Amino acid sequence: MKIGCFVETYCFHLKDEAQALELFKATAEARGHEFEFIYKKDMNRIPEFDAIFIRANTDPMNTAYVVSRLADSLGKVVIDDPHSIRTCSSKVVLHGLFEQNSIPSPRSRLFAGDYGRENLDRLFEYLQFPIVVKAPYTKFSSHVEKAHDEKEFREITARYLKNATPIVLQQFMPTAFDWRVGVLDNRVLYLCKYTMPRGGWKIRAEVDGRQVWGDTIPIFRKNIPKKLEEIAIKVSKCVGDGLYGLDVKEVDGEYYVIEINDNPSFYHGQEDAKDKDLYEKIIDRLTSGRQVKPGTYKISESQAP
Amino acid sequence: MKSSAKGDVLNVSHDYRYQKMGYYVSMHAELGGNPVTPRCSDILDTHRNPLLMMRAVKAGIPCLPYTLISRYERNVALPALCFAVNPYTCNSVTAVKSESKMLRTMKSLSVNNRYPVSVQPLIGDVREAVQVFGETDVPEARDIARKFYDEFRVPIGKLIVQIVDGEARLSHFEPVQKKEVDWGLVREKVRTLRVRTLRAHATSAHAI
Ligand SMILES: Nc1ncnc2c1ncn2[C@@H]1O[C@H](COP(=O)(O)OP(=O)(O)OP(=O)(O)O)[C@@H](O)[C@H]1O
Repeated sequence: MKIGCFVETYCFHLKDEAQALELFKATAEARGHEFEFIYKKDMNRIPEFDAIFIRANTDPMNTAYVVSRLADSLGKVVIDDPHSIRTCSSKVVLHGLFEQNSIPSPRSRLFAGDYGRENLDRLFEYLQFPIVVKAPYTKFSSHVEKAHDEKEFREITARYLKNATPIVLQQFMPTAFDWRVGVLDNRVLYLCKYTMPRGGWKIRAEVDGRQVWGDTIPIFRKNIPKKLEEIAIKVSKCVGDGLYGLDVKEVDGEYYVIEINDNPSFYHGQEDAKDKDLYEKIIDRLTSGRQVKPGTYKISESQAP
Repeated sequence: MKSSAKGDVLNVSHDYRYQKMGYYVSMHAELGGNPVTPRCSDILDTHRNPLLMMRAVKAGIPCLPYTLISRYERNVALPALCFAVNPYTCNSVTAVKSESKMLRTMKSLSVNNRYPVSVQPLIGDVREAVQVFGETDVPEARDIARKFYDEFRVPIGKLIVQIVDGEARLSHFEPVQKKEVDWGLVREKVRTLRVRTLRAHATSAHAI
């Protein structure tokens, strides 16, 4: 089988990320497959491949979405598939998904700019300050901010509403780490804890204009708490049977899902540190001939032409 | 503008681009579990040239061939018609007849190599046909407009066609400006659609 791995040059900037990509390639080749990195300039060649593995950032905004949709329509196995991308890339969509499927998550409300006194009082009462404000299409924590009072709330929400309506408001739920549950085919693939950088409340923070990450603590997937596993699988089944990374908070033994991401990141020595077979499992899925199926939460999909 | 019968939502807008109001209305309808016209995935397909072309060809719409390039290339056949392949594109249609113009066009349409550019041969008269529920004022483009609406169900939009030997071929799709739309026609169309929907429901009620 021939796998095309869609990347952009930035995918190779960090050493650990580049190493993980090389491990995908080596694993595929060891299993008798061809594995080629493809870029924007190779988009005309998508029909040549049996499967497409997207490692560049996905979002309906990006070229990766066009690649995914082209490959999917041509009947290729593609991870991430267009339906998963459309679902996971919007916090507004995820808000609806969690609500309709009774997924435990921080208290949330959509906000479209109703600054009427009554509405604000109701929101502040329900969510309590500080309130977490999120733009629908944030990536890398870039548009997730905390408002401590009404003045900050007005300033941040006005800024976000300029670019998108509605936005998401959430109850602030501080924890020392986020669980990261990697899921493939509605089964747990790997597990780790992403800890917050010192003094921060997000797993990524900006210090002097530079991105800093907290440490990653890898854990064998067989040791996953039962309840956490159940919730992660339930959420993944709503989206589809592709590859996902869930961010989950734990407070007093209860789990709260922050989000489910398509296109989860892989850094050699982190996500792969315990369950090293994740490379094989992903390659095997890509070469299975089985296209990713949308889950139970369907935003309607056009017929693959 | 929205009309609703039995949870069916008709979302009428002149601009459905990603993250614009027209897109959100469809998205919210889908999230609420309501069948909506147009669907988000159809909107996204129409606004990316290769996805539009791939589906249009399969739907039997006469189209022009395209190729995707990601940076300036010398060996592209000229003259060519170029389109930006990014979700916010609007007014990106550029006719290119010389190498120097190609260089400049690639730079701006690719937003400094961030997005690919779709390139088609420029072999006919380029026309813009505003399509409203499958109808258009441009006589040569009538058949394409009807087939386009049948396939993608996007109520309003601009079809860029090339007239080659008296026949239209589809090149591209773009949002329209508000002032380019005959809103009287839109209102009438919405009214007839609603009557038809109500009748259909009445008939099925009889059948039961
Ligand atoms: N309600 C909340 N309470 C406390 N922390 C939160 C809350 N929501 C998000 N966070 C933290 O903020 C960070 C970014 O949040 P989120 O994942 O929603 O946005 P993102 O931009 O998609 O980030 P990423 O791409 O890093 O996953 C995460 O580390 C998460 O733990």
